[in-house]
Amino acid sequence: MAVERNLISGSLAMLVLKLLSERDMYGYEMIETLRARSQNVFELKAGTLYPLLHGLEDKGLLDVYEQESAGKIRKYYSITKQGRGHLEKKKKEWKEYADAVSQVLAMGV
Amino acid sequence: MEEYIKTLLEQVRCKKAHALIEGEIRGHMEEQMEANLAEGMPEEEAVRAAVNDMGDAVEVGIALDRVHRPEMAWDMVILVAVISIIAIALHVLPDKNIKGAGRFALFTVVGFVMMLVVYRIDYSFMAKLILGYLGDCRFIGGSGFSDGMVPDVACSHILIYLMVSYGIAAGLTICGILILLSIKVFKISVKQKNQLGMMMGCGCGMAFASNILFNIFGNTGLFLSTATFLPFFSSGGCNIVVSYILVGIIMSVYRYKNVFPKHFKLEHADS
Repeated sequence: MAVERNLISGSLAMLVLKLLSERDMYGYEMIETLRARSQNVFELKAGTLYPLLHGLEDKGLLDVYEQESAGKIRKYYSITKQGRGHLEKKKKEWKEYADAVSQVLAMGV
Repeated sequence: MEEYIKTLLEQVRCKKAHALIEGEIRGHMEEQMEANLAEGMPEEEAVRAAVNDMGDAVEVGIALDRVHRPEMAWDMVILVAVISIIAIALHVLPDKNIKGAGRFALFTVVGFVMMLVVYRIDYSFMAKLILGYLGDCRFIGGSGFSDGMVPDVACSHILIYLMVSYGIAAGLTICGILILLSIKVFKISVKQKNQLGMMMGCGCGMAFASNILFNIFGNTGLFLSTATFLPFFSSGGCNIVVSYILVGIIMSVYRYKNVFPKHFKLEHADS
């Protein structure tokens, strides 16, 4: 089922930070993990992910390093302390938003 | 696939960021292709599917262009402009003790212009030039510039002169401003993800900081006053210009902070 694009793009940074808060990953890995965890709801395009990653790195929320594996050189991203702080903030905001929506939907007229 | 990469890169105006971006995008598409092949797709379809999965080349290129842009260190420029004005004022204000005030002002202006020229130059190109001259030597950070100059009042003891004529507060203010400049230089350098940028920036920072500190100690008699040089303020034509060039280098490092990857391969400039 295709979810509203706006809902997804707003929280994308938060989701990426969450993945990286668990372990360092490279771009392709992030897309696969996101797809698996969301049961194919999030089919993130690489063209959306990379500008996002570069932007986050530029803001100091992520670090990047290169590592070789199986003859390929991959760029791995890791979350910084600042990144973790940002993630916590976004999680709180999301929870507030989600709770509010649920409440309004649950209320009878 | 090559067409996709080409179209995408065309959107990224800063050419120097291309190597950084191409590596990552190409690696991704290749991996996607392999996964597709593993699933049993025929080769042509595997390539097409991998490219389509990326998203629109123009859109992605534009998004990346927005991130990877050269940036101007404005607060650095303003700080140095303030320093230059104070320095010129000090030398030019009617005072019999300092000779060659006009010459000083000229050098300061030349220096400022040099700074604005140097900052536009890609600092990795400068490093390659130096490497070219040094042959196969490794480029180690921590450059220093030679401070052999004529020891006279306007030169090494400008700080004392300053305090005597304008009060200790003035001297302390100038020291403060210069130390602020050094700190800024280090802050910019340390934040660099590009290692060469970090080293060159720290080298400039060390050059400033060491000269400033030695000059302060020399002036206050904390140790033997050898001929030292207070960057921007002491008169000594070449050294003034060098001070500005160092700032130009650090501005170049800052300018390309979003553009270069962590490492480059440093080849000789003429290869």
